Amino acid sequence: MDDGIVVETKNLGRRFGRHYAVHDLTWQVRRGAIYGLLGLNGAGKTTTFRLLMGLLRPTNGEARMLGLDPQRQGVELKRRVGYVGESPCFYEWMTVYELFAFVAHYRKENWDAAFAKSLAERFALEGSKKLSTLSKGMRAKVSLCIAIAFRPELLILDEPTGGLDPVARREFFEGVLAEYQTPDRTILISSHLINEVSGIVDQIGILHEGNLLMDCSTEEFLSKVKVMRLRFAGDPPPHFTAEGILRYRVDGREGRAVTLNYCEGETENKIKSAGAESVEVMDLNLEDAFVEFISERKSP
Amino acid sequence: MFLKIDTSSPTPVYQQIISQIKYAIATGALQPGDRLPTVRDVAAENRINRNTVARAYSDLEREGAIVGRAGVGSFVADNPPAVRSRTARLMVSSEFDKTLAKAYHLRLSRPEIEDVFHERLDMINLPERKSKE
Repeated sequence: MDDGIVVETKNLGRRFGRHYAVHDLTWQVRRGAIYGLLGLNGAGKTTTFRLLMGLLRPTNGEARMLGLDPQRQGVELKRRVGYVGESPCFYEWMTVYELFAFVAHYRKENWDAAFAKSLAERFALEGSKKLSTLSKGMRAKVSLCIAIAFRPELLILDEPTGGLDPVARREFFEGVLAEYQTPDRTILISSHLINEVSGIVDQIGILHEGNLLMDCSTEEFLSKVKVMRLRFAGDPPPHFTAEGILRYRVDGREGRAVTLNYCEGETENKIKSAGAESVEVMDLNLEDAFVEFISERKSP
Repeated sequence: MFLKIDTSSPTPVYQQIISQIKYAIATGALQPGDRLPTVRDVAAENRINRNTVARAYSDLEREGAIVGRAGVGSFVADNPPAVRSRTARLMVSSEFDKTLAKAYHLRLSRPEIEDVFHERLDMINLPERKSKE
């Protein structure tokens, strides 16, 4: 299975009643990527992940994870893919170490007990504490331990830091990066907390109302989405159009516009030909770029 | 050596890493032969992708600012003073560019800008330094 494609979907769709939570998704994630599936709440991210893990049956289309069919090869899939969801479900009466032993039973071949123990120590988890006594942050760390202690090739993180305080969120990602990430492993993470993952993800996909609107490297996305300040000889006109320019509005003595297809030199020339005197291009961070991009798609 | 990466800044992360390391070399905070933190440690502490750090390190290596020794780590190269001085001049030039752009927007004339510059230079009382070759 070595074309380097770790996650693949073809026309994947899932309907609930008459509403398509995921619509005709054709998508690939390559080995070694840290891929961020971004989108607003309700965009379809969790549904997508549940389809990928075989927890939901698709209405149409198919998915392959490490070449495996989640519907027919679910058991093997769960042995090779680590998964951390938003609200981990445990047997609350177990202690941390009892949970480890329980999970180890299902991951016999690759479970590394010594590694699991060192992870617990790294996260300051007391092995003999009952899971029911742990805080949210500690529960997330327990989930992470059991997800990576068997060194899976693929790690799925579905809004893993939901409800965690800032310290716990940082410790979670530090743990992922220090203890798990290597060039031959792939991480697929979904989040609506864009800036939190912006340093980590090198590939992004933007899901909106069940449709994949963007699928490219983080760098490419940031090179294309820009905000621009336009200056005119006189007062800025109330309306202004040029090729590729969106959402122009007057902002004091300047005009402000957005482009989703910035091309250095070319974009400025088009704007100047359309009547602006000067253009200042502003770089955006991932969250701001995401907001500009999605604002274009949202119904007014 | 402490790197502080701001992932919510519009400046790309790999560029922040490169700038901060070059700055540390130019100020002497990092000396030739000093060992840089590992890719893994930088990535984990700042919660950024290891590939991004690796890329910054490899760019720095290509520029000759650092040297990678397989299995051992990355080290600051033996930068001669001329190279440090050139890096320092480039960094100060780009800071000047930003200030000059601001001065232009604030409609200062050229003589006014020169005035302000000399005034601040006199104020600061820089210790005498031999100019680098």
